[in-house]
Amino acid sequence: MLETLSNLFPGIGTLFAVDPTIAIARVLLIALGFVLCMLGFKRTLEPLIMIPMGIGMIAVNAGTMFLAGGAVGNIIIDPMLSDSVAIMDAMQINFLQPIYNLTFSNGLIACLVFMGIGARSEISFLLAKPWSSIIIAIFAELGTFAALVIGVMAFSLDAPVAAAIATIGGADGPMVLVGSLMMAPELFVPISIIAYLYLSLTYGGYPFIIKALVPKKYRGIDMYVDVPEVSKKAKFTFIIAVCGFLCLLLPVAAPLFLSFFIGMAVKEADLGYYTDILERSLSYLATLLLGLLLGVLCEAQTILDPQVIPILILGIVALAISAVGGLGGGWLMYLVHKYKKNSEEFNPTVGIAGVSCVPTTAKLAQHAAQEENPFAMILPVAMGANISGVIVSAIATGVFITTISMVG
Amino acid sequence: MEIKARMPGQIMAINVAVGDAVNAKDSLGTIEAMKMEQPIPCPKAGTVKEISVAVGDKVKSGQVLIVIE
Repeated sequence: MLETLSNLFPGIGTLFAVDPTIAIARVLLIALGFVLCMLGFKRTLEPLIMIPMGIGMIAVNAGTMFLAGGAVGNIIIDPMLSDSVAIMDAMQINFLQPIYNLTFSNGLIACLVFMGIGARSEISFLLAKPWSSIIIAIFAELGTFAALVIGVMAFSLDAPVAAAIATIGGADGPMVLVGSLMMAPELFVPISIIAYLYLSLTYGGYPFIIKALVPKKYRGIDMYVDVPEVSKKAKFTFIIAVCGFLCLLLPVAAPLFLSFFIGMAVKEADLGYYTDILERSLSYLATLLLGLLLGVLCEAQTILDPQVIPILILGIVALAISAVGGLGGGWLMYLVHKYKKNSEEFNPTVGIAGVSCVPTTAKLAQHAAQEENPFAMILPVAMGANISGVIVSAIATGVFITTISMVG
Repeated sequence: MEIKARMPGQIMAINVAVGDAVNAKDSLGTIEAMKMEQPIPCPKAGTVKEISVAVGDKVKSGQVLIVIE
């Protein structure tokens, strides 16, 4: 009787056919999927990623069946395949397999999202206060470097693995995907999932760090900036020159630089149709597929890896230290402006925007300032720091990949 | 005195009309920039002389919105 039921409802039947740990993990992951969906619905977490991810998680952990040969699996995805022939076979059966192997594992989907970020970034904000933006962005990378050191020393991780996890401190999804693909490919599934989860959580956690490190009367400082009138031609030339220069220096990060700067370039050149595609259709499609893939990759058997624990801890440490670093940079700029003559005050809250989650952290800075002073408008300066943050994170990731491979 | 947009965005609301008396720190309208609503502050007391934009207009950074004297 039980046998018949188990065959009629394989989703439940398979729960009894596997190790109890995996069965419990599957149930917990289905529950987690529900939680993520609801939090996405309520907008507590970023819904664009969390809703596809939650539903994917539920589907892949519930929809397990008995495959040929008595194995237990699903027909959504099999991320563990490495043999080319097996992959080709699976691509004709598992519906998300082609998306996984052809866009995820090679970083294409990360680069498409990055193109969208580039197309939304306005470089004049960077040019309004270039030195402050760059210094804050460098300080905000502190988390990445600190996490690398902590990973190697406290968790005895190999340098490439620690570096891959540390890129979470750069707060840029595509960067983490590409970084872990190149430095720790065997862990890139858990690293990416945890990275995206944590990046969503910055909405929730960062305001507390801002309130803790920046007292009320400094949060509300208003800043009038003259966003300089730079000609489109000058901005365009700058964008393509910087792209070429950075690719020359760090070819391992060339896919990231190419994607980011093509987004910016297409926008500066007023290619309306391209900008629209990169900013909207392509970007949202890539985000949807990315969320979905991250969800279906959270299958109990794939994700039950003891190595997940250091990733969970290091990831949050990296993001927290980056926030502190960024705000430190903000305070530094506040002091610099205080002691410079004829210079208006600098709002230290801008520092959080150096953590390059575009444009989330810039908007967080603006919200925090507006809470104290409804007329404060620090968004332009925050966006400048945000965009520098992206470029600095890309450089940091490139530096990591290049030097880690030299140290081996 | 010209009140200019500080971020590129869209005018969501205008709370004053030509000829109104306004005080410092009044909110003259609302502008939406990057999906965030910002009030347009009045820097000093005066009278509204000219309103150069309408609700729904997309404005650029530095564009004159309202003139006060």
